[in-house]
Parts: sequence; structure tokens; C-alpha cells
Amino acid sequence: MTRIRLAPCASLVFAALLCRCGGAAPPPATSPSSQPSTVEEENQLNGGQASPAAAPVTPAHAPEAAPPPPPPPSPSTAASADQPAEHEARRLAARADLDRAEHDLAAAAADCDSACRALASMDRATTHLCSLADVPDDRRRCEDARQRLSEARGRVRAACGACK
Amino acid sequence: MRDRRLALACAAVLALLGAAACRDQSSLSGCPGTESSAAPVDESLLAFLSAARSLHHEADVKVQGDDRAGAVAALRRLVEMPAPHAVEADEVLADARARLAELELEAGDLERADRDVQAGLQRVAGTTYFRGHLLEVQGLVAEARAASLADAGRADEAAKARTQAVTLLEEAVQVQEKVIEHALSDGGRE
Repeated sequence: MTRIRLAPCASLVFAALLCRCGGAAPPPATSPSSQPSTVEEENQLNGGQASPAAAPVTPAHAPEAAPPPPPPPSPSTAASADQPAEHEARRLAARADLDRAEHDLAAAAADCDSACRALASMDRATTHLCSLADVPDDRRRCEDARQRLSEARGRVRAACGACK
Repeated sequence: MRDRRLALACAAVLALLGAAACRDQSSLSGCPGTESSAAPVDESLLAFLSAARSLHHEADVKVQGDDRAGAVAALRRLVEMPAPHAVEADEVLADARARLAELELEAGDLERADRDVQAGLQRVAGTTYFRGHLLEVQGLVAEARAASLADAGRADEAAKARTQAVTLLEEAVQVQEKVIEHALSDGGRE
């Protein structure tokens, strides 16, 4: 039961994160032209001064002198027009998941409040009932009420933990 | 309790995440408060619930100051307010009647306590906490009446009131047991 009650919380976090990712602005373009492609360009970015370390260009730290060839067209480029709609659909689905999980979480908390309140009332009623039980039939009713109370307390504790 | 704290913490995190997500979006569609399809708010119900909360708070303050009569007066104002036709309003009124009855019982006014319980029971039916609580208080009133009758030497009437008290308290136990069962079985959802 506890696991069931925590499930909405986990799915809520997941949906919230998904929704947040879906709603984020696209990352800035990182085309080859936005990166320094030559030593001169790199120097300009460093304030126009050539650093001594920049002179011996090593493949590991500097780009090639010539601009890199453009990447081959990927199959997804052709479908790029469909991406915004698909992206929006995913975002809306995530939003719906978030709303549903949020509702479930609130309902679970309200259910525990309600169960704890009812348990307290049941406890008081049982105490008074048993204080009045002075004949065998009433004592049987008292025992029955105590048994019910004990079982209810176990169920509430398993689902909600201790009540306030 | 730990699970409850976890749920609350989770809700807080989600609220922050949701707010951040909405701030990040250039479009506000899907963010709280921006949907035109939001459920209409019943202002008269909200006003009633707000007034009820204030009067319960006033009653709390009076009880803390040992002013039982003041607490009863605050709750009396609540149950005499014009109430909208809504389940929530009925439950608030039933709850206030139960509280009134408890205060009157403490003051030894069994007749008034019984009348308030009866008035509360007319507001709620079926398996609800409010009905169970009213039955519990009604059982306590019957128990007090049994003691009072026994003190007056009216043994037969006292025995009858005692039997009535046991029956009412047993019924309260059964109603609250079902309330718990229903609340924890997810039966009220989906």
C-alpha cells in the first residue's frame, strides 16, 4: 500500500522533469562557423593577441586550418518540419501526466487525513463503548470493536505511517 | 508519517519545478492560472468556507481562553449563517454541530447537545466521517444521560440510555471503519 501511495509522487517527478525538458528553449546553435576555425580567429577571441602556446598548433588542441567539411545530411533533417508538432505533442502528454500525478498525490494525502481522522473517532467510540460494557453481550461488542480498531489502525499505519 | 513528509516534500519540489518550467516557456499554455478551461469557482461557497474557518478559529481562541460560552456563540453563528447548497457546506455545518454538541455536553446541557447532533445528522448521510463523528457524539450524550438517570435513581431508564449509547458507539465504530476502508482502497478515485 505504501508503495502504491508513493507511486504518484515518483511519476509526478518524472512527468515534471519531462515537461520541463519539453518546455525548454532549444540549445544555441553550434555550427562550425560559431567556433574558432583558425588560429587567427582564436587569437581574436582571446583579445587579439597571439599566445605563445598558439603557435605550434597541435591537432589535439586546435582545429584544422581549413574549415571542417559540413556534416552529411542526416535522415532526420528531412523530417525537421514535423519535429515541432511532435515535440509539442510530447510536451502536452507530459503535462497531462503531471496533472494526473499531481491529482493522485493530493488525493493520497487527503485520503490519509481522512483515514486518520476516522481512526481517532473510532478509537474514542471504542473506548467509551468498552467503558459501558458490563454485561456479557456488551463485552462481546466491546471486543469486536477493539478487534476492528486494531485492524483499522494497522491498515492506516501501513498506508500512511503514524497519524498526527 | 515519513511517507507523508515525503509526499509533502515531493509536492513542494514539483511546485518549484512546475513554476520553473512555466517561466522557461515563451508560451504560457499549460501553466497554472493560464488555462481558460479552468473550473468555475463558486464564490458563495468560498465565502462560506472562509467565514466558517474564521468562526472555528474564533471558537479555538475562546476555548483556549476558557471561554466556553464564547466558543459556543461563535459556532452558533456559523450554523445559523445562510449556507450555499453544496456537499462541502453541509459537511462544514455537520462538523460545527458536532463541535457544538461536544461543548454543550461538557457544560451538561444534554438536551441542546442532542438537538445539535440531530440537526447535524440531517446534513450528512451514508458513510462519511462527519456522520460517524456525530454518531460518536450522540453516543456520548446517551452515555451522559444514562449516568444522570442512574444518579437520579431511575435505573430502568438509565439501562435503556446505556443500551442506546452502546448501540450508537458501535455504529460510529462501524461507520468510521468503512470510511477508513474507502479512503485507503482508492475506491473514491478514478
